[in-house]
Amino acid sequence: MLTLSKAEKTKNTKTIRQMLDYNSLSVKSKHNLLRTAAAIGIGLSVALVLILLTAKNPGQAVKYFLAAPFMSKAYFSHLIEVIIPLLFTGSAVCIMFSANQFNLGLEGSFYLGGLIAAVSGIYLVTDVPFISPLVGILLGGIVGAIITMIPALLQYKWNANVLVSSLMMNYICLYVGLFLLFHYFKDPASSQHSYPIGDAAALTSFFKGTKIHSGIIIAALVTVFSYLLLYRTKTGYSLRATGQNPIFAKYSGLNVGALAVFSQIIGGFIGGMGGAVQMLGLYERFQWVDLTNFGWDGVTIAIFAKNNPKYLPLATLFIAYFRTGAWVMSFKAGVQIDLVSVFEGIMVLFLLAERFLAGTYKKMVFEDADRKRKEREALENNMDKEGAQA
Amino acid sequence: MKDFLVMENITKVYDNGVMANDNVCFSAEKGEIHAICGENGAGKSTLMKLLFGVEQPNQGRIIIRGEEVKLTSPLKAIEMGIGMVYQHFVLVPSLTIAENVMLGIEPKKGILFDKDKAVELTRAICEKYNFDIDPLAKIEDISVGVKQKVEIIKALIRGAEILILDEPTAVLTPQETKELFEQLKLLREAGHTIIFISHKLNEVKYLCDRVTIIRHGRTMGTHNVADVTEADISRLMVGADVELTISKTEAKPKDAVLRVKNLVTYNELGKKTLNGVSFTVREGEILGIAGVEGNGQRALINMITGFGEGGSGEVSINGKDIRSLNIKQLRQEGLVHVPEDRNVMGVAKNMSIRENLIADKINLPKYNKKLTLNDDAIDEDTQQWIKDFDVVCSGSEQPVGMLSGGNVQKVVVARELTSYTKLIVCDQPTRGIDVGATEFIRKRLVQKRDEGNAVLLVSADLGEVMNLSDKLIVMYGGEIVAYFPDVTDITEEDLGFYMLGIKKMTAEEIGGAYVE
Ligand SMILES: Nc1ncnc2c1ncn2[C@@H]1O[C@H](COP(=O)(O)OP(=O)(O)OP(=O)(O)O)[C@@H](O)[C@H]1O
Ligand SMILES: [Mg+2]
Repeated sequence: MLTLSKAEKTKNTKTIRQMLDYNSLSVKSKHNLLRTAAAIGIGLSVALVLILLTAKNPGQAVKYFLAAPFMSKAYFSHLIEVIIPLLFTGSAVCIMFSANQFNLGLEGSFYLGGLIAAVSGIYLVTDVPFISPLVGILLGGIVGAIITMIPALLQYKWNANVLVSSLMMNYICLYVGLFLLFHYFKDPASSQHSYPIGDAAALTSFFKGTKIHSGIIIAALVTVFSYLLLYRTKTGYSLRATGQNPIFAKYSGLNVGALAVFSQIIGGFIGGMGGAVQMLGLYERFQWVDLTNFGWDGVTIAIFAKNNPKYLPLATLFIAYFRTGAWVMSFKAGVQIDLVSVFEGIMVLFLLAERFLAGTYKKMVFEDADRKRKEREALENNMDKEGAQA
Repeated sequence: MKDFLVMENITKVYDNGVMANDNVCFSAEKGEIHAICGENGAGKSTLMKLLFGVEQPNQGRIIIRGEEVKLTSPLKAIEMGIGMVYQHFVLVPSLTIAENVMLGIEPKKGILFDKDKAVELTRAICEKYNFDIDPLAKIEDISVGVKQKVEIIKALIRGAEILILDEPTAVLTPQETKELFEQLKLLREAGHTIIFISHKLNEVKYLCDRVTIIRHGRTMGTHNVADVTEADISRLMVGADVELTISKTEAKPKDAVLRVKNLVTYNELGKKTLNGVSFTVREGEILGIAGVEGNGQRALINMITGFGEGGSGEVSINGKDIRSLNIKQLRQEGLVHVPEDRNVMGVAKNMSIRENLIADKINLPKYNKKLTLNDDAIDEDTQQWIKDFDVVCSGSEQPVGMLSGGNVQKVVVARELTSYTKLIVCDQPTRGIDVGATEFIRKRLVQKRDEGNAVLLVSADLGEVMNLSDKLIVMYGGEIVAYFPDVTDITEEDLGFYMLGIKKMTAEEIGGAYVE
């Protein structure tokens, strides 16, 4: 028979377990910061090099690119204008992607959401303060939800690939919109603008001389709602479980098919609301003759935010900041605005690349664990000494 | 040979900060069978992944045949003559054994696959090591035991002198286990070194020459197996004495909870998977199902747990037809289910332990406030369950995918047994779980039985089925071939004959499994 040494006995299971309680979350967040900073750094450097190569007056161009939002009220207003739609589509994508539903129909939702809001403001409830915009936004949401729901149901019933059908849906939306615009709503006095939207239907501006409108409040509320829904309710939990492992979700008693459809309805609703808010906040007449691209931007934003609406404010602010810079730079210094897509693309690539800086991370984690090990060993030696004295 | 295989002062920290190996020293000699024992999460698989180049150590040296090597990938390890047989086989079902064995190292005739050569080579190696298998058989048609042999041959043909087997016997019948052991002994005689991981200490005792014990990532020494008893090993593993026997009072069965009558099912190809299966499980009893994997157990469990479709016959729980209920409703009836493959069905790997534990209870009023989840209540209960079921983790927020195999299983079992239960369906409930935790789970099952639950137990571990069950049926080829109303006086050998389809009881005897 073997017996345990005294030291082994004192180091009993419990205490060792507690000591083994490593928690290197701090290392993880440190590294995440490092990674994000590095991705931004690389993206920015490429952007700056391109500016230096193409601009006539590089110093001027760089200044606008980096600091435009602080240089005038109008530029700052533009920053907020960009943030508003991104918060909507970003939230929508976060919800759908969390449930692992790759519905890309938000372009359509956003577009037709804007159109129906305009129609509502032109014909339906044109002049009741508060009620008019409310009706417009709700109608926008409903239409938006229908747009994403159709591919969702096609997938649910007949297993039609939602990615493909939702992409087609976007074009259907665009052509339906154009048809309606040119056959019914177009003001004969204009080439591509509808009749004017009733004044009472417009979202009020906050500050004189800027275009910042009350839509920012709705956008903020929607973002908070999306976060609470996904991370603080049983529905959100069920959506995420479905997204992570549908077999597991089904086994746990969740209605996987319904949850998948539901995530897309909510996503489309938010997307449609976004279109309506955009329309009622910034335009006097409907005039979109192309898709707005905000649906796609939602995907980029969701990647930055790791599908968690909690990070949307930061992610949208970041994107909006440099888009504003690029926009100002384009008309002040004649540098092409496309630059900013290159910049965003590079960062998305780096943020998606799992292995980017993985080596450094391993090192950081090991050093952290090694330090804890030394602390623990010192503790154990003390325990042994005390044991010997006793 | 000195320094045949030495792992020196190995430290491995995973990305989540868990130090899975802490200054581990391990060495094996040429021509020995060396066991590695340790609790769930001790770091056994990690050490082997380092040796097979799947993971890289942060510190330490690996020396093979006197030379230090850097094993940066499994390919490198294979080059160094190391082979590994995973518990989950990586074989292509539609190909033949010979084709699988040669996958990636195909003999060529011009640019084409030389089938005859492949068969010839496979046959040669089988003869050399005395494996009795047919190289032309398709993987989908062979049993688990044979599949495992194919995996071993795959390693041998690539020149493996060091063979790692991580819990190889978990899925085998006693006969297959015996065969495997004979095979391994032959390999040892031929000079191969075998590293053998198992939670079954009797196997270690029977088969191995030396045993290295790991506790919480640290080596607790290497011993000659002859010098230690099973109790010694488990004490060294745990750091305390472990009670190994489980006492069980006689069952007091009451009303029937689960009834299965004349159940016939088919697979996607229209082949019969179940052929007229009938039995009852009552409150307060444990019905065991013994059988080699792939003899209809999967189809049966699917039908009972709400994953099956079609077929004919009756299945009812609490007198209600199961086909009219969805899984949520089944769970409301008190069905809980420990699935056979924890990774596919039992957990969402990227979600936290906490979220996995609460999955089936997310709708309970207790865990919800008006609109949001009641995080405090969830935290309190999940922390408690983690403690009760002894899940080794760095906290309830750790993703389940980062737990060791046995600890993932504990999460699944903990979730299911803490729900409202009436019918407990357990498919391999203790697969990959260490001795201590196994006893704990078995005790819980017996306790659940005594509280008036019906328990249906499927397990490849015959010791488990025989130990726990009050009644036992044996399945072969989609049918019940034997029914034992009393488990006390059957032997593993007896069962083996029924499990391999060599013997079959009369229809009358089998009919006893169904009680009106
Ligand atoms: N991929 C991983 N990422 C992070 N941690 C991991 C990973 N794999 C294992 N671990 C952790 O490392 C420790 C050792 O795990 P390992 O799989 O080596 O245990 P084991 O001895 O094989 O246990 P079991 O008997 O349960 O299979 C555990 O605490 C586990 O949580
Ligand atoms: Mg393991």
